[in-house]
Amino acid sequence: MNFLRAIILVSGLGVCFAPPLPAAPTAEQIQAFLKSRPELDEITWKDPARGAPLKVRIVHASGQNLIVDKSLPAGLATRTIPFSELADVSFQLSPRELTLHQEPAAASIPPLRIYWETRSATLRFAGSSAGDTGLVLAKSLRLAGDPASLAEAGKILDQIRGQDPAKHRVELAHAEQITLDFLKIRQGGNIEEIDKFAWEITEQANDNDATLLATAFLADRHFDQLKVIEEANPRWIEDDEVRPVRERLYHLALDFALYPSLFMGTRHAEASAGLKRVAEVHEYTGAKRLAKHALEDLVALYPESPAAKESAPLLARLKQLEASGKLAEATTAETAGDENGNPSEDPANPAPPPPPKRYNIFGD
Amino acid sequence: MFHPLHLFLLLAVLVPGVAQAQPAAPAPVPAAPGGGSATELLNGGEAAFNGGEWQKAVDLFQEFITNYGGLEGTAGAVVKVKPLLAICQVRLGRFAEALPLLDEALKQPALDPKQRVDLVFFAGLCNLRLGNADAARKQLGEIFTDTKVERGRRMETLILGGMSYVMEKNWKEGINFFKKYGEEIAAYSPEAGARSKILLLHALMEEKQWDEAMSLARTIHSRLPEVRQIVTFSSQLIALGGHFLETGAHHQAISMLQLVPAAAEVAQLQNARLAEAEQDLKSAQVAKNAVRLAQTQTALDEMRRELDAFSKIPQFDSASRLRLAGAYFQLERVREGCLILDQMVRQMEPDPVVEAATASLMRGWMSLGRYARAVRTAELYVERLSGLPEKPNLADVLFLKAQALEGQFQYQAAADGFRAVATQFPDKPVAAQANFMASYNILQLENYKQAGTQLDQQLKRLKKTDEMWQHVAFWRAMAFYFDQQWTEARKSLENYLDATRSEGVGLEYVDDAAFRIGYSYFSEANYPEAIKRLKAFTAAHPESEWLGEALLTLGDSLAAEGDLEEADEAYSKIGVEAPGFHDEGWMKRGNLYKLRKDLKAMKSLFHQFVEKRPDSPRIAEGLQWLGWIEKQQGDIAAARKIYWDAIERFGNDLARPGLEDIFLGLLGFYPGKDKPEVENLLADALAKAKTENKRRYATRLGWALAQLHLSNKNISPERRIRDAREALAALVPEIDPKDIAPRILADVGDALVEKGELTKALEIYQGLRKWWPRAPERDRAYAGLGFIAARVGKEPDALVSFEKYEKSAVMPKTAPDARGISLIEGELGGKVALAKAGILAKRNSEQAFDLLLAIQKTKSMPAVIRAAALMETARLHYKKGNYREALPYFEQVYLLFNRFPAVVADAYFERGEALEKLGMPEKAREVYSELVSREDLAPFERSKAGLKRATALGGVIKPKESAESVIPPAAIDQP
Repeated sequence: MNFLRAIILVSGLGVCFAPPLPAAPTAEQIQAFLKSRPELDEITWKDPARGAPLKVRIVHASGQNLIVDKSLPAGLATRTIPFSELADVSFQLSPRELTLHQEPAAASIPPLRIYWETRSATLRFAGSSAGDTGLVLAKSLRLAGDPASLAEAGKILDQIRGQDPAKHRVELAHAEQITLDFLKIRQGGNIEEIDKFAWEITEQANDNDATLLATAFLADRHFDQLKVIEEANPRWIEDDEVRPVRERLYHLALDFALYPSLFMGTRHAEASAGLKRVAEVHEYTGAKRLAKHALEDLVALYPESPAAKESAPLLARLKQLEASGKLAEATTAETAGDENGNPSEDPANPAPPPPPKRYNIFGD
Repeated sequence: MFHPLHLFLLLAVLVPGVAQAQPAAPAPVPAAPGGGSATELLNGGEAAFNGGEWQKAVDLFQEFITNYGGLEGTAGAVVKVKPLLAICQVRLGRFAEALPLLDEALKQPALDPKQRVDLVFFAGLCNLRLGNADAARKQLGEIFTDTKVERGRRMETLILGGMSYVMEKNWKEGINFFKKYGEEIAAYSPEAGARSKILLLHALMEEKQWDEAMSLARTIHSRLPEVRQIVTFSSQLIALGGHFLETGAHHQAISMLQLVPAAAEVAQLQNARLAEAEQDLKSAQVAKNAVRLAQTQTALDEMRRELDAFSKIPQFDSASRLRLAGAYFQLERVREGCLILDQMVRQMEPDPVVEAATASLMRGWMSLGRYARAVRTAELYVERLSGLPEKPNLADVLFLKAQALEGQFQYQAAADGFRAVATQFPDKPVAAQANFMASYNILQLENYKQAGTQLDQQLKRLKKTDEMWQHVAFWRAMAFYFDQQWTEARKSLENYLDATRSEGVGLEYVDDAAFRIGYSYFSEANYPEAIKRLKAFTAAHPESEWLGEALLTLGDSLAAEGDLEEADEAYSKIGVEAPGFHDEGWMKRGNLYKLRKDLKAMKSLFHQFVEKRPDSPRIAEGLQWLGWIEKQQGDIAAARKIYWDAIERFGNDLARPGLEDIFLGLLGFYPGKDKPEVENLLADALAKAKTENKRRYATRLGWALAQLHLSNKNISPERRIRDAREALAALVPEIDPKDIAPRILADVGDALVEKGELTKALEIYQGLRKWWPRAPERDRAYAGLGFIAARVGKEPDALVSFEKYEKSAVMPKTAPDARGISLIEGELGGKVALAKAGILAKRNSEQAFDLLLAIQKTKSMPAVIRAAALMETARLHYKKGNYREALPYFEQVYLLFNRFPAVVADAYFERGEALEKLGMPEKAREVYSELVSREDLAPFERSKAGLKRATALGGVIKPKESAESVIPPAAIDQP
């Protein structure tokens, strides 16, 4: 790759000279900041005769109008411009706002809400980044998790899907909606319904928040079911009927727990939690060597994660056992066998989830 | 900030200025006729420059310089035009042409500072592009250090300055530079900061500072939205990951490769950056900001070229994922590697990398025992990759698929799969293996003739030096062997052994073959030959896995030839590493002593057995012999003591085969009149065991008592059953199913069901199923669970349990009748069938009738069951109001099944009721009268009820003293 050719240019981005902001801005502070932001937003007139795009400070967008500030030789002027006169609108994001975008959190809801409320009316303009703000706000609301926040998030996503011309943002809004729907179903508590929806999400094979939530749920569920079946059938390994069911639960618990670290490895929280879960499954089934492997991966790949720190004592113990030659394996560990070894279904067991689409890595 | 319009203003001033200075002077005349006027050229050039039409501007400015340069009055304009021309050349990438012009312009005295800055900038840029790094740095540095210059331009020069080190491959200086100024650049512009970090990353990698490169890559990734060179960065990540993979730093490799976006995401991100840049371009166009316009246009062109080049890398995703999977495999994380490869195969576009990965994936699944996944992978391969022009792994994939089917015990499918591989790829080495495996799987299906034929065909094609020959030859012999064609088997086995001795054929089966030859002679009762061969085998193969069986067979052969001493010696050599054969050896030796009537030796032997093999499942047999010996010697007390000692010694042991037989064996030494004595002894022992909290012992004693009750001929059968049932039910508090033999659990469960204690019975059966999944008694647990479910109205559960019973039953199944109904033979099978019929009767009476008919017609079904089937058929008809249809069934019961008086009494009475329903009171009265007159049925309530009805209908009709009225004796046993 010719790096040199790739980099002989200078960015067109201007410099942002935003006044310094406190660490966690409140809504009031953002309201104040909106009135003092640098005049680096840009409006483009529909009528070219009105001149070049103008650098302004967009204070508020509401209904069909845009309220802007512009410093003129005579002083600061505030104008209300109808959308009908504008071809495009673009916002210059401040460093703080960029940070809010990069790290959605429930605590960010108040400032994001202000940004959204002042900008959402410009969604339909191609240059407007209001949709990005909306997406981050929706995600932050989702992270808050209470029903009112989820409902508000849903409305925002509906708005983006309905008005934003940017295809990629609409797709992101759709993906976020699925995540929201999953959370709502989870809150409903109907385990079968949650299970079914989780499987549907895995069929779509998208690397997104919904998949992370679904795989975490399914990992836990299959692990719980594994414990139940082993408790009820302590000699499952001798039982031709129970064994394939047990194997299926075992394999799926591990497959789901591994999903974040293998396919969304940059999602540190979920990936590290998944590896910890993998180690728990292996420990439970007596596969201590494999548990050690999982913890080694956890500590090597996500050393700063809470999961790694919590697992350090167990890893140390397993390493000690290994050093003393006592790291025995359960006979049923990785070579335990096929979840579908017995071709006949056990009609007494609950029906499996609906068959996933053919390209779902969790289904056969 | 520099604005080329400054120059135009000057131009505009200059030209009129030229005219004003000499108002009467004519316009300059071009050196070459036919071109535009000076003003036209200048104005045109200006317009082209403003519009970004660089080539046009170049042409016009060149023409002006060529035609008017050097003419009077044009010198000033030429001086001003040349820098503009230079800028146009820069825009057109003609740095060599631009540089002299810029140098010339910079020599002009009294140059406007702003103009000077721009000219120095462009000169620096030209030197940079021309490889004159030092000169470039000097010029760019001049601008950077001038604090009066606008910040944006200063930052631009900084980045270009750093880039100069990279361009001259001065990695160390580049690293130093970007480390020093990187944060400042990032503060100016996040996007510029990201770009400088990518340059720094490149330099670090070139300098092999891998750890720092890794750390920087993570930092860049954390700010990916600011990165415009997504494609470049992704490639750097793959290169980093690849490096760590090669050096065995697998976790580092994984952490880098995890950051690589999928190709679609790379394209999406890059396109998003493109969209941003296009927006910038529009803004620059509208603002007529030529510098910004030029910069943004260049950026766009570069990004588009990169994206285009990226789109031509077809294996980006698969290459990245394959490396990631490889890292996991190197760490022995087989599952993780397989899951990554699995996604590749399922979702990525078919390409040679994906094709190769599929075979690796299948091997991975097989090593994890996930055969179904392996089969599915093979199917996906065929489905998704069959369109590839080259499929080098197809044969292996299909072979592995067949192996996976074999792993799932689908032998026919496996055989077909192997056969397909051999047929499709006859010239590949795998063909011979596949052919063999196809035959081997047919052998697994016990189709010996077909397997043998196929192996014969393959043998003809193989040379003895071929690797597969030994396997094909041996198993061909075994096909004969399994088919009991002993002569042919021996011939083939000898053929194989000869080849191992003389032709260097593999030795994998030499001991097996030698043993089989010996055993085949034994099977034919050719003992001398068997002895000869087996002796030779035991001498030649002292470590063979077949040694135990060979010694046993040798002993049997020697014994058959009357050589008891040698037989004894052979048996005594069977090692405990083959425990089944070892214990059998003990028993055989005992038998030899018995044949020799050497009770002393026999006694000594079995005492030794009990001492040395207390955990043997045949312990009871040993004790049985000791007791028999004492009995033979007339010392019944000693015999009994042997059992009591053993019972006390082993009675509280954890469950293992054979223990309960000791208790049963004890009962055999208390015949007839001694039964009360053993009953008291057992009861006393039971009481003591309970007080000593020896729960397992207590359970076994209680169970033995129940068996004793069942065998007590001094009381009625009903009383025996009742006493046994009570004894078994009383054991519940002592029972922990995981410690108690399944046969005891099944007996206790059955007793509880009979007593109606369904909850306790449920626990016992569930305990049996849970703790003894392979016990033969498991079928009794399923049947019991089904009966309980039926009784509490949980009919679907009952049917499920009955189905499990049928699958696990140890008794054989009858051949399907005309309606396809097949029953499990035996009393329990019959009871289950009756219970099922009872459930079906509520849902589908036709099916119920069919099932009941099947039971009636199954001759192997116990009489009591067939009688019950007739009764239930009759009752079902009665319930449906088909009274006439019910009559013959009731009648058959009391005509054919007099052994079961309770049922007979019911049959009489209910037939009477049916006749009453049909409005035939006289006939009903006759039937009731017949019931009443049977003395054998008098104890039953139905007889009393029949009396009432007969009286109500006009009185009991006395039986006639004639042949027709002779009641069939109860002893008649009708089939």
